[in-house]
Amino acid sequence: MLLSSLRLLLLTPILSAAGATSRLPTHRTASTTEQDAFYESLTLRPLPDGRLSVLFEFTTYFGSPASSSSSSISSPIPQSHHSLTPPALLLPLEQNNVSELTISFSTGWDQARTGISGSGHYETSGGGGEVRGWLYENQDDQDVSSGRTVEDRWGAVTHALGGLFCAGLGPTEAGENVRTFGENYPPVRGDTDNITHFLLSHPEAQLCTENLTPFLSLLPSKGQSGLSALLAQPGIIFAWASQAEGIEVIMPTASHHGRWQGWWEGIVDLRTLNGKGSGKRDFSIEKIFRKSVPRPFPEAGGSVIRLISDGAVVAEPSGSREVEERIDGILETVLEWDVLDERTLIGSDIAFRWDEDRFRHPRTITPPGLTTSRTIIDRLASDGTLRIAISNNDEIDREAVYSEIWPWWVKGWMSEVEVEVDDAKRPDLLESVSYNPSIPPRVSTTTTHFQLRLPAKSTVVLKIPFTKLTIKYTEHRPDAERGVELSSGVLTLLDLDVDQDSKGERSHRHDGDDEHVMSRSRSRNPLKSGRRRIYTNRILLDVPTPDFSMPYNVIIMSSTVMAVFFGLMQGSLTRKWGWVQIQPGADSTEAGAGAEAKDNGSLKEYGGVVVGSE
Amino acid sequence: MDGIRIPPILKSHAGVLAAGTVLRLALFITAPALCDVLQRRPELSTPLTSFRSLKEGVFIYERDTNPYEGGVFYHSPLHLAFFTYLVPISSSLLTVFLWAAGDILGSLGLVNIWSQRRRTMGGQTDRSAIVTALYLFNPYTLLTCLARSTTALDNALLIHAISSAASGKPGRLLSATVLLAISTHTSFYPILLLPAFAIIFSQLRPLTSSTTSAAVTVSGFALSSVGLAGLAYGLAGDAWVAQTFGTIINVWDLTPNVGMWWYFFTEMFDHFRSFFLGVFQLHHLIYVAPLCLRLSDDPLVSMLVMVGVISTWKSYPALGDMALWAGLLSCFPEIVSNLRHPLFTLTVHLYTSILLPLLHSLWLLTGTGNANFFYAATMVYGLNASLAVVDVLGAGLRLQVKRETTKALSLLDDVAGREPDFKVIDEIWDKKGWSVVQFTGQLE
Repeated sequence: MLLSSLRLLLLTPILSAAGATSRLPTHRTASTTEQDAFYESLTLRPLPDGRLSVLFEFTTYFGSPASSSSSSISSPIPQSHHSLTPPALLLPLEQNNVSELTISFSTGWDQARTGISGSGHYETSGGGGEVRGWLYENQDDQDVSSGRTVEDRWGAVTHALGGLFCAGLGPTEAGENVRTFGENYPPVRGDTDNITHFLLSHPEAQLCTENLTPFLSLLPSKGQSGLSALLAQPGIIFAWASQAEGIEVIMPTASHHGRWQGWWEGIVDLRTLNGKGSGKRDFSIEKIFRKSVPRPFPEAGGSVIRLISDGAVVAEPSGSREVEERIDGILETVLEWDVLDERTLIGSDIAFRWDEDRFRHPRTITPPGLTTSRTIIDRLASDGTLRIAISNNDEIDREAVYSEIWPWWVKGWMSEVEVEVDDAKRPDLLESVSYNPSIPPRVSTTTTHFQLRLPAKSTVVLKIPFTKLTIKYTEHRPDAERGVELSSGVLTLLDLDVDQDSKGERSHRHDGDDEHVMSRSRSRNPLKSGRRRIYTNRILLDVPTPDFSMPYNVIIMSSTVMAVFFGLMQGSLTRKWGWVQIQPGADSTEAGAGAEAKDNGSLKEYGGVVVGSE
Repeated sequence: MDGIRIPPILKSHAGVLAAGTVLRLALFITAPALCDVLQRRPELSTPLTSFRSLKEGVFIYERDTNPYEGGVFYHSPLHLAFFTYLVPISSSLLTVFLWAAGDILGSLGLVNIWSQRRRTMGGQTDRSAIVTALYLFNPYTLLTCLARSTTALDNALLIHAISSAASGKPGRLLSATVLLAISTHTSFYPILLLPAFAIIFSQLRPLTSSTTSAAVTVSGFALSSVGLAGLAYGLAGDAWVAQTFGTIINVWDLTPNVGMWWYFFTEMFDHFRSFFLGVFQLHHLIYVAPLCLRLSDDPLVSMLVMVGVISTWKSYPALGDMALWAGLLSCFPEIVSNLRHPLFTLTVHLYTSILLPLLHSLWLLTGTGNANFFYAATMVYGLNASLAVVDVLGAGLRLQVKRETTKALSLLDDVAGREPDFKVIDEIWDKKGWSVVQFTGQLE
C-alpha cells in the first residue's frame, strides 16, 4: 500500500531527530516509532420518534507529528512527518503552540423528539459553528521577540482552519474571542498550567456541502474506502435532517500520544426510506447509503458498525459482539460488527427490522434526565427577557453551571436576574454568578455563568432581562432585519461521577480493555454520564435597525436644524436692535409708513423709519 | 371662567409646596406600576441618568466589582457612592423621599432666584407660588421625578448653584462654585455656565477687583472639580473618566433619546465621525462668549439662554433638562412677557409629548415602524426647543433695548436708584405704540 510504504520512508528521519534531541525522555523515542493507529466506527441509534441517528467517528492516534514542537520551530528547516495524520490540520496547530482544539458545526438537537439530551457525539456544541481550544502561553523566546501574543496565535490557527473548512471561523475582531469558558471545557489532559482557553462562537454558521469535502480529505481513507466511503456521498448525507460535524485534536506531549477525532452525525427519517405509506421503519445499510458494507481501510486498527439497540430491533446478520455501554448514564445494549474480523460482511448488507406492522409515533417520549429550553419573552423590540427553563427529570438534585455568550450590544441586567421554580422565586438555587461584561463600544462579548442547584423533579426557570443597544449602521450585519443569532446556552454539569481520563474516549478500543462495561447494578445513573454539557437552542434576536438608506438624509436634516438654530442665534447676537413707533390705530400693514419721526440724541434715521438705537 | 375656585391656601407658596409634595408621594406610593413604566421611558431617562442603570451599577459595585471596567454604566462615581452608602438604592421608600425632596429643593432654589431678580428688576407682586407651581406641576418635572431619573437631582443641584450665584452675596461664592463643580461632575455640560458665574461675581461691588473675583470663581471651581475627581478616583479608580465624561463627549452609547445626536451618530459614516463630533460639541461652546458679552449687563439672562442651549443640544438630553429650563424661565417674568411666540412653543411641546411616545412605541415596542419615526419626532422637539431658545434670547435683547431706551429718554420719572417694574415699562411702550425690532444691520 502506498501509505504504508510512505511511512517506512519517513521513519528514519523521525528516529534521527529523536536521537539528536537528547533532552527527550527515552519512552518518547519508543512512542514515536510506534505505529500511528486509525479507528473508525459507524454508530446507528434508532430514536423513539421513528428516526435514526447515524454517527461516523474516525479516530487517529499519533505520536509527535514532528520531533518536538519547540525544535521544529527553532530548526531552520521545519521537519514534519505524517503517516495517517493530515498535515493541513496539524501544522497550523503545531506552529501556533496549540494543546487542544475542537471545531464543531451543528444544526442543533431536538431534546423533546429524541428523548436524548444532545447530539450523539458529546463534544458537539450547540447550534452553529464553534471553535474552542487550549493554547500554550508564550514560552518560546521567538514568540515574545516577534511580538506574537497568544491571541495572535489563536487568530492565526482559527483563520488557517477556517480556510480549511471553507467557513469563516476566525475572529473578525479580537474582542469576539471568549476566554472565560475554560471551566466549561476543561482540557483533556487535565493540567491547566501555562495554557489558555479560547472559544469563538459562530451561531450563524451553517453546515453545508463545502464542509464535507475538507472533512473527508483530512481522513487517511479520504472517503475512498472503509466507512468513510459511506460518508462520501453528499447527495445522500445532506438529505438528512439535522447534521453535526466536528473534529477534536489533542496534540501529543512528551508523555502522551496525540489524538484527533472527526465525527459526522445525521438524522435519517426511517419511514421515508420504505416508501410513502408503508409506515415501516425497517432499514439496512444499503437502504440508507445505497451502498453495501465497504471494504475496510487497510490501515484501520478497527472498523466497527455499531447499533445502539432500543430492545426491539432485530439485526440480520446479528452482530458479532454484544456489549453494554453507558450512554448518557443509561446502560445500553450495543451490537457490534467488526468489518476487519468478519470479512464476509464486505459487499453484503446488514438489515434491521422491527416486529411491527407499522410504526406508531409514541404519544409521549420519555424526556432525558435534563432538558433545557430557551425563549425570549416580552414583546418589546428593544428589550427582552431570556427565559431559560432547565428541567431535572431525575430523582436527585443536580449541580450545574449555566453559561451564556452575548454580543456586546446585548446588555443583561444582572440585578434583575430571577430564578423561579413553579412561579415561586427561589434565589437560594442560584449559588453564584460570574459576569464578564463586554466593553462597548468596542466589539467584545459578554459572558455569564450561573451556578445553579437543580432540585429533583422540577423545572428551574432562569430569567435574564436584557436590552438591545442601538448600534451604528455600519456595525449591522448584512440583512440586519432578519435578526442576529445568539449562541446556544451551555449547561455544564458539575456532579458527574466519571473519571477524567475516560471523558470523550468512549469509542476508545485502542488498549483492548473495554472500560465501558461498568457495573450492571443500575441501568440508569445520571451521574455516570459522559455528557458534561447540554446545549440550549440557538435563538434569533430581532435587532432595532436604523434606516440604512438614510445616512445622507439624516446628516442633512440634523445639520439643517443646527444651522437654523445657529443662524438665528448669530443674527440675534450680532444684529442691531432698535425700536419703531407704530401709530396707535394704524393698520399693521402700514406699520412702516405710519411710523412717526422722533428726534433724540441717540436716534438715527434708517430709511423712512425713524428708529431708536442705544 | 371661574368655574373652579382654587382655595386661597393652595395659592400660597407653602400650599403649593405641600400640594407638590403630596402629589409626588401619593403617585410614588399608590402607582408604583406607573413609576416602573416611566423608568423605562427613553424620553425621561437616558442611559446616563436612568434609575435602572444606576441600580445595576450599585448592584455590581456592592459585589466588589468596578462597574466602570466593563459593561454599560455611565453614572458619576458620586452617584454610585451616594446610592451605595448614603441612600441605599434598593430601599424604595428612601429613594421616593429623596427624589421628592430633590424637586422641592429645586423649587425653593427657583424661588430664591426669583426673589433676587425681584430685588434687581424692581418691585413686582409676589410670584413665589407661581414659580413653585410652574416647576412642581410641570409634567416634565413631575414625570422625571417619578421616573427617578438622576436628571431630577442634577437639576436641583444646578438650580442651587445658580441661586447661590444670583444671591449677589460674595459669601455665596464658595457654595456656588462647589455646587457648579458637583453639577459639572455629574452632568458635564454645566461647565459652560462657569464664565457667566465669573461675570456675576466680578460685578459684585464689595470685592476688590473684577479680575480677582473672576479668578477666584474659576480657581474655586477648578479646585472643587479636582477634589471631586480625587474623591471619584478613590471610589472607582480612573476607569470612570472614560465611561462618564468619555461617553458624554464621544457619544458611544446610541440609545434613542429626545436629542439630535443619537440618530445622527448612528447613521454617520465612520470616517466623518470625529469631525462631526467636534462640530456638535463645539456648537455649545461657541455661544458662551457671545452670550456673556452681549448680555453682560444681566449675566443671569445669559445663563438662562445657555441652559436652554445645553438642554436642547447636549449629547444625552431628556425632558427633565427642558423642565429645568422651563423652571428657570418662570423666574424671569419680564422675559416671558416679551416672548414672540410662547403659545406656539407650548403647543408644539404638547404635540411632541404625544408624538414622542407614540412613534417610539411604533418603532421599538411594537416593532412596526422604523427608526425614522422616532427621529422625526425628536426633530420636531429639537427644532421647537431651538426656536424657543432663540425666542428667549430675543426677548432678553428686547428687554435690554426697552430698559435702556426708557432710561435714556427718561420716560419714567420714578424714584432714582430703583429699577422700574417691567410691567410699567411694557405699559408705557404699549401706550406709545413702540416696539423693539431686530434690524438687518450689524452691530457697530
